[in-house]
Amino acid sequence: MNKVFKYIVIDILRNKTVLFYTLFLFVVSFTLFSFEENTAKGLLSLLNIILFIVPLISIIFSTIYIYNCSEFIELLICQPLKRKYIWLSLFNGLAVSLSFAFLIGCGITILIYEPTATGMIMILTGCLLSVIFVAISMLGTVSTRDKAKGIGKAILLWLYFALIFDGLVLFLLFQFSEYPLEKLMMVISGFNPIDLSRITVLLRLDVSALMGYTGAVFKDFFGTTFGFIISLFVLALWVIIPLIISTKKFQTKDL
Amino acid sequence: MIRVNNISKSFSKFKALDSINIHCEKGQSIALIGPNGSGKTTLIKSILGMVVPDSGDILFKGNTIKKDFHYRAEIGYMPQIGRYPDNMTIGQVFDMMKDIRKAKVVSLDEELIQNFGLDKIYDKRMRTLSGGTRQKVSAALAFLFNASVLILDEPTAGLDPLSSEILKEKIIKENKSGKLVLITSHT
Repeated sequence: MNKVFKYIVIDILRNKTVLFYTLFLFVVSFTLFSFEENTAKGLLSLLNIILFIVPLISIIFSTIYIYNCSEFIELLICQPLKRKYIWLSLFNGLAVSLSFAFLIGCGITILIYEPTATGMIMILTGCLLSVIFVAISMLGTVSTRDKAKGIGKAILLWLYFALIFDGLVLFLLFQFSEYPLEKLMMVISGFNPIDLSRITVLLRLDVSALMGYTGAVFKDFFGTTFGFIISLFVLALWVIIPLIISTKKFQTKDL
Repeated sequence: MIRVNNISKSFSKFKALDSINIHCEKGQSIALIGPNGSGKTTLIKSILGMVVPDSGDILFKGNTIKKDFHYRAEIGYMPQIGRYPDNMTIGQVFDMMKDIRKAKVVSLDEELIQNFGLDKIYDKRMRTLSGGTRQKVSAALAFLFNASVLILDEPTAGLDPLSSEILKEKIIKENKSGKLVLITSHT
């Protein structure tokens, strides 16, 4: 498993983007924590930035990287290697280097300023989000041959998860405000990994009191250990399902 | 050695291969000749498993190549347009390929690397290479692992007459030592 993975990680490190990304995350998290006197507040601001930046960088960087890798993939595919092995090595290389960048960039500062269970959960969700968006970008690239189209698709997907999905949910809430939608909202939040991560971390902070009745229902479910495990499981599904589909597609792709 | 049974492949509406049957044996030297777009490269890529045929079957030494990948250790392939990672040097590309195929390789054949003088420009990046030098790298890689089958897709296109001669001599030499050589050309 390790040879192709090794070459991909070396290549990603040689490409300085990931190093800048790490540095950027480090500077942002460090400044946020030193500006706020209350570390919980710092954590909250950092959460909002992480939920925006981490998916964006993960999906765009992976998409561009996979397209630039097409020569490398072509070279490997006529060697005695399994296609599945090549594709999964590519996934592992991207997932490991982006999660590692997050761990160094944000993980260190969170561990210094907020070494609590909440801080740990935030580090975990940040890493999971990186991996999820690598998996989604791989699904996008395997079905699109054209590079420009593929990158456009990646940006649209990110927009959908970061903004459009919330807009649709709000619209739904207003339209059906006479009905009890709290239980349904919990299911719907599972369809967006960014929202699910946000809820998982927010409920650990005391601001969930501001979220009204829905917040109370959420706290009853996601606040418990069982709810936490369920949300981690759903986040893991967001990695596994796109990865399985993209691997299946890659195995019969013409190169 | 290689038996192609009734394979067909279409790219949306365009039918590239229509029920093709081929049988190749050890020590043969076979040329695939045809105009542009007649499916030569598609056939070669199907044998290599890069293109998946719509129907039909390909046997390598009696075993189907579907879901198999080990057979590719016995094939040296030189693509029509060699594409390599841009920011690697020639030396790194050779080292990487040796590393990836190491377990199965007994002896390396570095004759072409020397004859083409590639060892003198090992630290040149792939992105800076001319089309001809790229072809030389592709050729050297195809012969490097002493594979028993050589598949060369328009090997001399883009090479200067001198290098072209070196390559031709090498192909004849390997064919005489009992290797199966498959060459495509449009002339």
